[in-house]
Amino acid sequence: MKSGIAALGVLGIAFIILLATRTTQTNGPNFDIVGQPSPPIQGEAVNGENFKLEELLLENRSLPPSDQAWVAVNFFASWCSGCIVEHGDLLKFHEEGVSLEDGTKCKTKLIGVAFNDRLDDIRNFFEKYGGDWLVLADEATNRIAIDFSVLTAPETVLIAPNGLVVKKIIGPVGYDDLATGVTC
Amino acid sequence: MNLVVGSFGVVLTLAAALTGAVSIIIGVRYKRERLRIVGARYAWIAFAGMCLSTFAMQRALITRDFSIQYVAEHGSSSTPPLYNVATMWSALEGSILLWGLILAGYLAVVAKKFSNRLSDPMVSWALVSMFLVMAFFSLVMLGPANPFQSFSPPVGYDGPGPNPLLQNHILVAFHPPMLYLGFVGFTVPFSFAVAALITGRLGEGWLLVTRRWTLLSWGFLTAGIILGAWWAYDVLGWGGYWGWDPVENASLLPWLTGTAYLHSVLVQERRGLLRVWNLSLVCATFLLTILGTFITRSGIIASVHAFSEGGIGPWLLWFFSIVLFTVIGLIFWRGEALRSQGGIDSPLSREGAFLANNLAFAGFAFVVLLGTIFPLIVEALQNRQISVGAPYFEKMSMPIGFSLLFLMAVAPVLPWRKANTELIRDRIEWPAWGGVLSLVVAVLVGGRGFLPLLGFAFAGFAGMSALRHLFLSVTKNKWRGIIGRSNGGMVVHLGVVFLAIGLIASSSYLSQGSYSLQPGESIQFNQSTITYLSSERLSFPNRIEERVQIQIDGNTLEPSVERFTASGQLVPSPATETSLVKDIQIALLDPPDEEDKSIVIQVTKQPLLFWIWLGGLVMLTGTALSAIPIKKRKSETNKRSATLPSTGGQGI
Repeated sequence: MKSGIAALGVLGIAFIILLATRTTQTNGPNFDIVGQPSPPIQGEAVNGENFKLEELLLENRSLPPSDQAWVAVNFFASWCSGCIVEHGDLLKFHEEGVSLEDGTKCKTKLIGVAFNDRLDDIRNFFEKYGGDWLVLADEATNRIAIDFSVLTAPETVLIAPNGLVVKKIIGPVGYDDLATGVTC
Repeated sequence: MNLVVGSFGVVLTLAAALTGAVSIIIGVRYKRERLRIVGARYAWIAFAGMCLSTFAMQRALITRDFSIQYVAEHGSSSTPPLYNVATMWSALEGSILLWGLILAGYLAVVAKKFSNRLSDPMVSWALVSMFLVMAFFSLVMLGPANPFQSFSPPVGYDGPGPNPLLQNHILVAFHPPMLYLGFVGFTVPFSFAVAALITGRLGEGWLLVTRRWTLLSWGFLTAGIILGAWWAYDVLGWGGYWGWDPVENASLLPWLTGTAYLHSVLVQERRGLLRVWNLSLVCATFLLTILGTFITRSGIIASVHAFSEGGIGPWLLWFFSIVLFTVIGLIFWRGEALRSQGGIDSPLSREGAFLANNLAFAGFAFVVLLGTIFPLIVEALQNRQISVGAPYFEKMSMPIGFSLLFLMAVAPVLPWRKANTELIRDRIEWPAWGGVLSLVVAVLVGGRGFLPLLGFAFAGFAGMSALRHLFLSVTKNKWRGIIGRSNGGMVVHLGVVFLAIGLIASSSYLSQGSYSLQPGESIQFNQSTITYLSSERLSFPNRIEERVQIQIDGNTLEPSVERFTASGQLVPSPATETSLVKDIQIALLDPPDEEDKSIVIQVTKQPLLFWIWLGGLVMLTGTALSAIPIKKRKSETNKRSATLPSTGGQGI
């Protein structure tokens, strides 16, 4: 029995070391995310492609301001009716992008993040309503939703080329909500 | 004034706890009884200190004394009176104060209850353990979670008030105190377990002493968990009541080990077996309350529960480590004395079933713990962040839950030591018919799917097994047939059966849909007609409420969305139509505005959901019934074990 207890002790030490060496994470919703640097976004999309926000932001740095991309991240789910309501506006944003009054076209990128959803349902959703933007749907999406304090779908955040979150829209997003935040 | 009184209370408690512990240790060491008696009295001083601090905090919250930082950060002049009282446990520092108050209360009651047995070293060491735990929490209140820090408010300052989610439901006032009464209560059995290890009196004496305390804490914890689930269901409006969030898991873990202990303790009492196991379960339950608090308060695991962070994490981890290694060391030291004599004769016996039950509960606790800390392990090994979602927990807990239901049906009909097949066949007949009947009824009312139907059959099996026990007991002992440990336990089992049926039906046959509606528009949802009648805007001191009237099958429901003025946070307030047969909940996803009166609602229909709350109520009734002492037959306690002279069969 003594060797069993000793083994338990060793396991206990390992467990405590594990707990002691973890860093503190943002615990809980961060409702003040607007104006702060975007939390990391990375994951595997429905089409198998990998996306990493960090890489896109790094690329932005090497480009002149007019070519730097704005990123809209749309948290959605196939089961949510608000997501159907906003889908037309997202299609417009994805296809037309944003043009300023002087005709300058700003570079934009739309990323979908599936929220508590199944792969087949997501594919059916896009087949039915159109759109071919990148949609992240792996296990990492839970983490992304927590980081952005997404309570339920739909919610959308707009990230400036420098990585700061400039806008967060709770509920169905309109094309103008996104377009008015973009400059270049 | 409040600041001074509150801080004084904490210092008083710390001083009393340390003096009490030291004086009892000296009293035991040098056999000076007077010191032990005086030492125990410090429990009252510690309690008085905590009462003083709590009084100061409540007074500060009521009078909006913003010179205390906690009140400035979490109080507000617009918070309604009830939530103002509950503000004390809406954030870290106040929660720890509540923890301290409850712990001091338990300490004082233990000192009072055992005042005529203070010369017993077991009681002395148990008090020392409790004093030391009390001292730790007082230190925390003077260190990283100080509720009485000063603040200089600018002229006209008004605080933001507690988190809006905690401001719109009456259950918030009761859920945390219940949970804490349960969490903290486990300190008592833990302290007696440590005392048993120190004194070497490892017989059943300490079990008898702590049995009712364990039951009491378990009852409070059960109430706390059920109230939490009820609050989540009523406030969050996603149709769910349990999300396997780390914070929820933290409350479930000690409940699982506590439940295992309440069963395995019977085996030790009757057969003198499973001694190390029982000690380990009691200590694990206490350790899990500390680990759970660490996990939720240190911020190492991301959770949807918005808890404030502070420097409390390392303190709790140190405390956890010290307790863990003290316990391991003590068990190691007493290893030989703990060895049980004899073993289980046959797996087909009551003790065999309890052993299986314990393995299932321990497995359940392991699965939940692993799922909760798995993100930390992955992060340490692979440096990537993941979160473990509900599918893992559901997949793992379902077979365990089913096995537990099955054991719940079989165990009460098995005799101790060894069963013969004829006896079992005779006793299991009723329960088996209960299972068949439940299956037939489930199919007749439209239940489909293999797993849910299997669940209903097991539930009927277990329910009839408990009813059979109660029927036989009531026939024999009249009304006394429903009180006492085993009879009360069967009532708890009935509660679990209700709860299981509610869980299975509401999750298996859930229907949900979201709809966009114009005023006057109707839709069909699952054989119900839903009509959007009208909307209104209501202004309150701390919030604006957008409320809509929705008619469903002739009844009007009023879901709303509240916008809290201080934080700007939107909090949905769903409306629910509850009956024994089904719950229909409507949440307002997109409220109407000035120009556009259209809304988006989410409708959720779940059959038998109310049975979950009903089950909780029956479980609590059963817990209360099992705490009522009944005249025991001549002690059946194993003669090999030492019992405390004055406890008899009554415990406390």
